[in-house]
Amino acid sequence: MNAPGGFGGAPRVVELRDIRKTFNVYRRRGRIRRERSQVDAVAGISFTIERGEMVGYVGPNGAGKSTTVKMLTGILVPSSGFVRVLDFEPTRQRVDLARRIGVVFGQRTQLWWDLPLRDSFELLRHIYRIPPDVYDRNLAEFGEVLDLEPFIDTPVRQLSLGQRMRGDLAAALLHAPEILFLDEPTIGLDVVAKARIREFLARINQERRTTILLTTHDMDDIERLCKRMLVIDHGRVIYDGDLATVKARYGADSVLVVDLEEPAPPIEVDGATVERVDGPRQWLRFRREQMSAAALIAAVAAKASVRDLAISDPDIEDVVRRIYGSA
Amino acid sequence: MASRAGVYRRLAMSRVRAHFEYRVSFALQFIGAFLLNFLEFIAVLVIFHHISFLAGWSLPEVAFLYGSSAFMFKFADMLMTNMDRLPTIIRMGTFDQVLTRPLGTLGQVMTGDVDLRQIGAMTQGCLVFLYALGHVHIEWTPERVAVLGSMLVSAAAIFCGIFVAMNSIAFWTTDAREVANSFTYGGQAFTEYPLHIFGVWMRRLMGYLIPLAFVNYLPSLYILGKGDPTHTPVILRFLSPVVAVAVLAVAGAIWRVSVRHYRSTGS
Amino acid sequence: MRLWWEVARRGFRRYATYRGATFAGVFTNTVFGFIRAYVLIALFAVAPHIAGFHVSEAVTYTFVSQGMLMPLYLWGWQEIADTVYSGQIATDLYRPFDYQSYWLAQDLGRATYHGIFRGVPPFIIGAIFFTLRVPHDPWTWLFFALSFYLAVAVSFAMRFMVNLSSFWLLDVRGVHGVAAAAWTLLSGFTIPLQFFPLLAKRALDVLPFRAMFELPLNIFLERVHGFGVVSTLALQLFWVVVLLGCGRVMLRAATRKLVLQGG
Repeated sequence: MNAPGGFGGAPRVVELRDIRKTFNVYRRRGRIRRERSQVDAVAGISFTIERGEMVGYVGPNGAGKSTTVKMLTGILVPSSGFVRVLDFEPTRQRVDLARRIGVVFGQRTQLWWDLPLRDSFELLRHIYRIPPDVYDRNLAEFGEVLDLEPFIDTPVRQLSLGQRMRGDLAAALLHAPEILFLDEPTIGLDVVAKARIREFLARINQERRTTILLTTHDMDDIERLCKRMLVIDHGRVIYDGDLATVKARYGADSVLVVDLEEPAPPIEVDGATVERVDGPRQWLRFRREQMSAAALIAAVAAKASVRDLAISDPDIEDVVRRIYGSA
Repeated sequence: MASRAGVYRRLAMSRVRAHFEYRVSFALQFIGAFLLNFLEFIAVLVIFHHISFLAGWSLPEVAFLYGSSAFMFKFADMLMTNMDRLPTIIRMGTFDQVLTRPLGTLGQVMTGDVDLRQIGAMTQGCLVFLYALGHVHIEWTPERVAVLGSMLVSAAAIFCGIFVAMNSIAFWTTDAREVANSFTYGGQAFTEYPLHIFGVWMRRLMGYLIPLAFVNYLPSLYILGKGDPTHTPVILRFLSPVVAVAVLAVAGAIWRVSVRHYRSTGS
Repeated sequence: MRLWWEVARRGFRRYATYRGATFAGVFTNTVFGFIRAYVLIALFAVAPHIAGFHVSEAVTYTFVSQGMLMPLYLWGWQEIADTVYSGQIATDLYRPFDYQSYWLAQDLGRATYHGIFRGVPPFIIGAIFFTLRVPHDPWTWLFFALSFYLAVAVSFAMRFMVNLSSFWLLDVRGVHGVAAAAWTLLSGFTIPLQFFPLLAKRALDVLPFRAMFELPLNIFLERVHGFGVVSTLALQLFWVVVLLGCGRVMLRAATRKLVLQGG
């Protein structure tokens, strides 16, 4: 079916043109009346993805990320627009497409809840009609890289979140899909688990040229995995490009919060501006690209006695706000 | 094609295996299901304590209807165990997963669970039916045997079709759940007694519009050699298989339209 | 006293939010009412005076009992069992009011909602299509209301105990199913108990189940008069007390189990 390490076929694996999705939302007014309003979850999105890309899809909650992914995988029908995945139309060719893609939802599992992990894999082998040699090879490889052996015979309901996510990833890739759609795969995981998952995804993308669309809230996911980033807000793509450019152009400020031994006038340090002073506490804004946190802390410590400090980094909302603000 | 059926069989068997994990509870519920349905039949016995003929039908003849209905309905109910949970499946987002797999949605939902405890209920219906067979007066001919066989198969098919059609409501609204019960479980109650005891409008709506009259009443008129006080054409007594196929086709169409609606409106 | 009233109101309001389900439920109740009514009509066509009933009384019986189905919540009430399985019950038991009374008050509030919105409509629809026997004496309505709440209390007491068995069983559905089957038939819901053969009826008379349907309907159909009404209500009250008492014994055992296991 699909030989590992390279697929023949069109270079363009995902194509969206002016995709829209409008939902009817009903609200109860009084005892019987219902008021209907329309919500544009997706208001005209266009982009293409080439084979082998690893693309990050980011945006605040409610921006339309999940809706887009649902339209790409055939779960949802677009209100209008053109969508092709692997040359299939997800709406009408759902089953054919399903055979060639893998989907992982971060918050829900694709596995069978009360069966051992191994049994889920077996069932998937039959559902996707995976040839025995492909199945064995994949199972062995994923089992080793994701370290599934210790819990492969445990019922899924007894697995920890990290173990379950590893199981879900393996399950989604058993049939060697050409594209992998991931919806918040690292949500709720600890640092070690996240690192392991990211490593695995990078490897899959490089070794098998599996195209990956990764929806996430976590900027670290993007930083470590994706060269290309799609930023979506209010149902529209407001940025499509590589990460380095985003940071350089729209990089948001980090904030260093210092608790001094005693109240002092605003500290002056090159590369940082004092945004707020409240007694012994001061908030300093700076750009990580221009000055490292360590350097700033050293500079501040040289000018005043620091009792405690904390650093907050910009989150995706900040970045999006900046991009949106300048759009 | 064959491999597809094989996949569905595997999915169903995995559910069966999962149920056997809870052996004691399973046994209790098996017995419970049997008792529950037996207690319902007692109502029929109480009725016949006072009379010998209900609307012209004797106890074994009513038992013939009651047993065939209960037996085939519980069989359909067993196949449709998971279908009943469709509102929960939709609410929890599990149906989205169903849509990402390279299998039909209806097959996946049906094989999502198979409740073998219903066999207890089926057994009870079967016993009542066997009692009836032993006590009614039937002039057996090859044609009658054929009609009896097709009656049972058609009954199960019609009930399954009604289950699918009614439960499709879940894709449209979460609230109207119980309306489905009126026609599934209500359908069983309706077919446990001779059709002509019901008022004209009820007969027309539940007997012919939702073609429950074809489940067992009409074929029984032929098998048991009984007259029809409602004077329906004799040909109807042989049309159960045709009606069953039609019901399944309509149910399948309703399902498809409903899934399409779900995919357009999301959750 | 004020507390229980508030709890009851809360019970009422909780169920009032399920409006669509209520309509669908009324539909189902009505369909089943029709089916059962026609069966009894066919029965009475052959034997017009069973147990001293007139056919209109039998049909009335059907629609009233069908309407009482939801208020008495014969099938599928597992709220307490759910709190046991979720662990919520540990906190509930340490609240500063009587646990059983709390649930009883809530249930009476719920039953009021169901009585009005699930009980009355099927009766009205039945009255349109069939000839029903409505009480002749206005006092009957009051006594029936009392009897109705006593029936709910009896049903609650039994449901309470079935739910508490979740402390000892992994899965109450088995017990619940058998119990529900038993009290559905033996209470007079499926078919009036007076239709049963004499010996069976005598046995059923000593059981508490008749307090759920047979007794309230005796009052509604005015089959009992004067002192008969009083003794009927008294019998219901007797069962309420006995069953609630058994429930309290069970609760104590359950609480002890909880304490031993550390909650």
